Amino acid sequence: MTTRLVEGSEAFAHAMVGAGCRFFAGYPMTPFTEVLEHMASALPPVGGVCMNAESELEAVGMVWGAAAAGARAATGSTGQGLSLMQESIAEAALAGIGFVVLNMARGQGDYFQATRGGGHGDYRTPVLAPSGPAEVGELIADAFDLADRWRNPVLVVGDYYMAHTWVDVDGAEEMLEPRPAPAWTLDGSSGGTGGAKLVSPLGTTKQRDGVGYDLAAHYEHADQQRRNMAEGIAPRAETTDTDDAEVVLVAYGTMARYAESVVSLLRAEGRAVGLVRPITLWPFPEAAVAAAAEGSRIVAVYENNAGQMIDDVKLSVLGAVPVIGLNGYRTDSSAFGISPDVSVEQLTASVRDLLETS
Amino acid sequence: MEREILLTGIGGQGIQLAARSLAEAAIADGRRVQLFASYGGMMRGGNSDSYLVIAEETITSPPVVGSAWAALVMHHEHAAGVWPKLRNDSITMINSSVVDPACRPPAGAGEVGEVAALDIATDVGSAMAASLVLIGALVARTAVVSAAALLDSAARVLPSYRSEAAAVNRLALQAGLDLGAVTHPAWTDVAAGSSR
Repeated sequence: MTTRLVEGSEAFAHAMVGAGCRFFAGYPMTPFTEVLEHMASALPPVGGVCMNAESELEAVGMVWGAAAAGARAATGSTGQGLSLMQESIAEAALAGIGFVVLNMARGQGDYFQATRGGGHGDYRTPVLAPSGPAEVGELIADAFDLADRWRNPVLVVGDYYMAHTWVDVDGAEEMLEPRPAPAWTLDGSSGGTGGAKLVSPLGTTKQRDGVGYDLAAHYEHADQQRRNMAEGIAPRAETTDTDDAEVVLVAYGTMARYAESVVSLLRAEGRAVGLVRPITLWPFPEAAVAAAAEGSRIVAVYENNAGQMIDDVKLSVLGAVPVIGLNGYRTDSSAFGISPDVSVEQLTASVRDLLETS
Repeated sequence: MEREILLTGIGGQGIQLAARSLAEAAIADGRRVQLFASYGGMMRGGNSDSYLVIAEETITSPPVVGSAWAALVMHHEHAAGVWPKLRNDSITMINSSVVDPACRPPAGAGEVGEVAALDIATDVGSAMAASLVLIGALVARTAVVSAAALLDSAARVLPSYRSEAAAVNRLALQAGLDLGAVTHPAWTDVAAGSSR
């Protein structure tokens, strides 16, 4: 077995192709650009298509077309590009079209964008957050499965650290063949052929000519689908040393790796600190957070933004113990969220203060 | 056991090439590797830093490590952030041709090696290979990777448009490797005083 040094952005691309993704479209923007470049190299040799679109609007438009025609498809950008894609993500959710959207984010300022969505209407998108390149393969595969299972866009959140961290990867990973196109997808048949289907945000049941869409029926169906999805996806989290923890940290993505280091450092000194790392940001692992908070003195949310996930943590803890934010770690001229104060030392000092004062 | 190596310098000094060479050599030696690169928009003169972790087991460190076993300082401009991370058993290798004499690790930070890397590289034929002299010298003192794997990886990681530099880069690496025997063994199976 050959071991290779692989950049995180290549790990994302490799995982997507390995999961059977055969259509990818995007528009360059750091740190998403590297994923797009790797997809442009990886897809043609396996018969796939990678498009450098005119903008993020066209990229997501191409992708929901490809997905409606039965391909496993994905797009992505940074948060700025995802802002442009919100209308299409909302429409695709209503149309029952599943695909994967990467947010190779700058920092963690797009938590609300990811978990609430900026599009219109009554929709939700599952959100998965790997903590580093090593977890990307598993979660990308899960994201495509969720997109297929629930016929809904699914977000995977990465960041600059993940894109630019190189890790050793074993060469012999599973490579899935593209799955057959699902029965509901379009195959080019038009009216009169008997094989024509309707895939639209306004309705997916064909009506007689002149009747139009039954929006009430469609929205009712979409509402039921969304409820089924919310109940059908098991929230995921990883907990470390929370059983007897006085201070419980909550962190996701790369920030959770800093928190893990701090927990193991302080545990080595005998300090009672634990960590909950949400892996699904929606549905949020409320039960895991609530269970960890029980018996603690304080819950501290470590995120690389002004305080966003803290809202979900508060909704999970429901006032049982105080919840505070260890945020504002964002002094960074690059704007990529790799500020020098995102550090094990700084977080250790903050948690020490909590242990002593709370 | 995790061996965290910080590399700091400015754009154009070969920080990223040196870090990739060490990382690829560690993989060839059968170890686990994590490498995070951080550099500014300027091709030359901006900060260029690398955070490399070499380990025998799965790596748990975050991309920017909290404490370090070794530092390679090619330039003083962005070196201040390195010092607080050094453990008291660390080793620091200084490019003394360039680094301001006022810029040195605090007392008690462990072993410090002064290597006139830029002068040595210039002597063997390429000032651009100074970072390779310095990693050669680190490997001479620590055997953190094997010399054979490093000589091989340094050629492999060169982009194709730089392939003509492979020969002189090898001379620079070898000059660093020849700077002495092991004083600061990286691994328990490396004996102090041995040469690689």
